[in-house]
Amino acid sequence: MKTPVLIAIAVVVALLAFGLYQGLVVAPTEQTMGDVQRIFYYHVPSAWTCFILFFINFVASIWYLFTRTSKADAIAVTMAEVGVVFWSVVIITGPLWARPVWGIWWTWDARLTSTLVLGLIYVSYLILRRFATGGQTPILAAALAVFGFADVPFVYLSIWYFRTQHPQPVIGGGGSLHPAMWHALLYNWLAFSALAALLCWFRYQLERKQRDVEETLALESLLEGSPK
Amino acid sequence: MNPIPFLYAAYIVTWVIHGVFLLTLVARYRKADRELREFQKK
Repeated sequence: MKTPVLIAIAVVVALLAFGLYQGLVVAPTEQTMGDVQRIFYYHVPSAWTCFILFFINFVASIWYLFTRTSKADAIAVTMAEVGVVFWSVVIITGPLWARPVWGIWWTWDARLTSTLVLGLIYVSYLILRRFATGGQTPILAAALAVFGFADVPFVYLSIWYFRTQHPQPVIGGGGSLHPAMWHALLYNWLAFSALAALLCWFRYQLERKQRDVEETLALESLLEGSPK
Repeated sequence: MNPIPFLYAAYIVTWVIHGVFLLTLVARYRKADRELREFQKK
């Protein structure tokens, strides 16, 4: 592994360790919920990172639909896959917070349901990419991604326009957050964004390698089929 | 209800998800690399 990659890994690990320390030790204990509120320092940054990744997927999909460049398609699939990983963290840590605070694991309100649907859209995108055959697959996937992204603003705005059990937004929600809690939240967001960047880089390298394999395979079958 | 196990579970699950994803990336990359080398040998 090259030195810049090793340095990047070390920086990400250090950021994550510092974020963990901020979330578990430095941030004060919330008065009503107690220590379980600290899940917030992983849940919210993961959600924000997931939205950013899906936004990049959206932009790359539009880029692909207009230009049909392989690079745009590779970026789109990379962002979708890493985005689904962060979405998985959101959808699992949410109920782990809800059970001791609300007394239930799940409720079918607008925020939770739209978040679940968002993830299922991108899972279906990845399934389409994985199992569909034929040259039209990247185009269909890009179209699905463009329409799928329409759910992201809905997820974000759902707690503004619907009566939901989910807490109000951290930014612009009317509530106040202790400065130390803000710091812990922002450090963890920085750490998870750095982790996402690193995972995207690894995933993009994998995508390039897989495309090399496919091209070599296609070339080989072409040569085998050609008259001698 | 003691909420602390939920806190630890959330943090551990987060790391398990990222760790498993990273391992699958490494495994898939190695597989693709091996396949490419085999094709190039032919």
